Amino acid sequence: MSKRLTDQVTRGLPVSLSLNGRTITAYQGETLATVIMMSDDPVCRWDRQGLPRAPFCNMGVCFDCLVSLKSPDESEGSRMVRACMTPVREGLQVTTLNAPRETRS
Amino acid sequence: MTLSREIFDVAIIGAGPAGLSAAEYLISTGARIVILDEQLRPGGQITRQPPKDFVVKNWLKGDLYKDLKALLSRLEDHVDIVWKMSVSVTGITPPVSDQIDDVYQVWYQDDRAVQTVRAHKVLVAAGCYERPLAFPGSTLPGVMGAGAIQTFLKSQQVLVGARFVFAGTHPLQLVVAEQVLDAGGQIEAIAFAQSPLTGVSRLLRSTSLFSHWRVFLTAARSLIRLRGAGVPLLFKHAVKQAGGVDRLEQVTLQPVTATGAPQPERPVRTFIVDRLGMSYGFQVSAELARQAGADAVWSADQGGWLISANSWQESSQPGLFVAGEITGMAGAEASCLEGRIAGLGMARALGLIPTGPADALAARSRRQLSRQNAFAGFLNAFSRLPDDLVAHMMTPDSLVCRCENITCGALRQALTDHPHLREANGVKLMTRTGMGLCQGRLCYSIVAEVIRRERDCSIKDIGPYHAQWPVKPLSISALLPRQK
Repeated sequence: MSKRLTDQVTRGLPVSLSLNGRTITAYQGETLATVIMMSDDPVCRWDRQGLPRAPFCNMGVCFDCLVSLKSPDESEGSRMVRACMTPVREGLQVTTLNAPRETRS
Repeated sequence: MTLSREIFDVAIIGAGPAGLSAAEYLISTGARIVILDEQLRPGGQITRQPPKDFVVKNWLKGDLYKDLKALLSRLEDHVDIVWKMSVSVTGITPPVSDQIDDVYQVWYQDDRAVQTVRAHKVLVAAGCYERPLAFPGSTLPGVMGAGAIQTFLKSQQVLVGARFVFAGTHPLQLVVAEQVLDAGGQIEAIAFAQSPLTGVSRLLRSTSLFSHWRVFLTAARSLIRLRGAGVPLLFKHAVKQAGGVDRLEQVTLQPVTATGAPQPERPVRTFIVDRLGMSYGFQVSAELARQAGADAVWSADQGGWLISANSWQESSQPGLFVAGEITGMAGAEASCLEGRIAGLGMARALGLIPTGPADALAARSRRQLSRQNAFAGFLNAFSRLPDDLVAHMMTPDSLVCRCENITCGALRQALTDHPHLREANGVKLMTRTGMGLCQGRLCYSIVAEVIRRERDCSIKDIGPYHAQWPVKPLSISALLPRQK
């Protein structure tokens, strides 16, 4: 279980976004990786063997934290981003990639 | 895709200690500079800042961070610097002629499109990343770099996990473990693969102990605090397996010999944890400089394929300067010194300062740098992986290439089936190791080690993976004209 440190820390304003269709509250300044780590199911994607992946390097190198992102202000479709490099915004729709049922035979 | 018209004096890639130190000198000369970095705010990894929306009291206390924090606060809002933050630099095109407007072109990707900046000189100060190893369960959620756990704490103010095991060879894991303890985490064990005697004997022979009291004091303080909290410290132990269904549930450590071979007659120890922090050293982020044409030399101890530089930190590619970890792992203080020397070198090359005064200013930094490098030599020797450790931690099913899911068994089979295969690039074409999204950053050292042992050759014979544009993955749509 991950936890937000609260001693001596004041976070940004609350932000509402969706993760796999569920509404989640996060705080301005947090990354999507933090949002996913704090969730009940801290997985970003399932690899080609159907194995789950989550943030490994937290600095944009490993791409294990790739997720699909759709912004409310963009007409075009979703794009793939590194969760650890992407800050939260109001109304973002985050979807983890290749849910296990799609890849596992 | 947008091409830029403005020509900067210098484009600096990387806003860590090296890049910022170069920037600070350059703006004092009136040079026009642009700094590009992937993170939201400058600071690099060592001083990875909380987001601007956070207020964190007493952020990164301690002597180790004092000078770096001061450097950051002097520069972050400096009006003479053009910042391109949250961008990934994907390539560098050197000039091909001596025409006045034929200059370096730095290609980068922001959250939508590919853009460029142009500059007369380029400084690559891209730092390093943690070296992963392959073992059963190494891709399981919950297995992370120790530094990744640390950056979640430093920047996001989040403790990822409740019960931790740290395993590696690098003293960084002591520092991270102490920070985890302070944040309320429980630490079940910290395992070093090497013997404590290896480190102590090297320490006694080292003359640099007293000139680097801050680093030692920090590590010693962490050690005392961890021992006081009853954290078991194991030597000559390495990860045997990370286990769990869909997420980390337990870590098994096994005793290893001085060369890193398992000792099956001695008992393994299993810990129920939700987080494993690995700290097996670092690899330098040299891809961009190599892509631009800079020569690299192999160093197992200092972080892989390092970029060679002259006394002004200029690489073999004229006009392309390098500073910080990519010239060899030596820590933040050395990075600051190299950054300053590179700043002087670029100002000199731009005619902003004559050679004589530049030399005089660089002399003191160069002396300090050679002391730093002596210390780094000790730290790198202390953290050196036992010779056979990488090979012994892998099982045939362990993933050597995390991106393409290539197992150690598949890699060895390809080497058996194709006796002519030896170069890393050939192995890449044959097996797809290094062809995925991380572009070989994470698998290279593991793949090279497997080839080296199978072929009984040196890493120089194996060579690095080719560094090609784009050095970070790019979406096709980013290359297309924007549709309105």
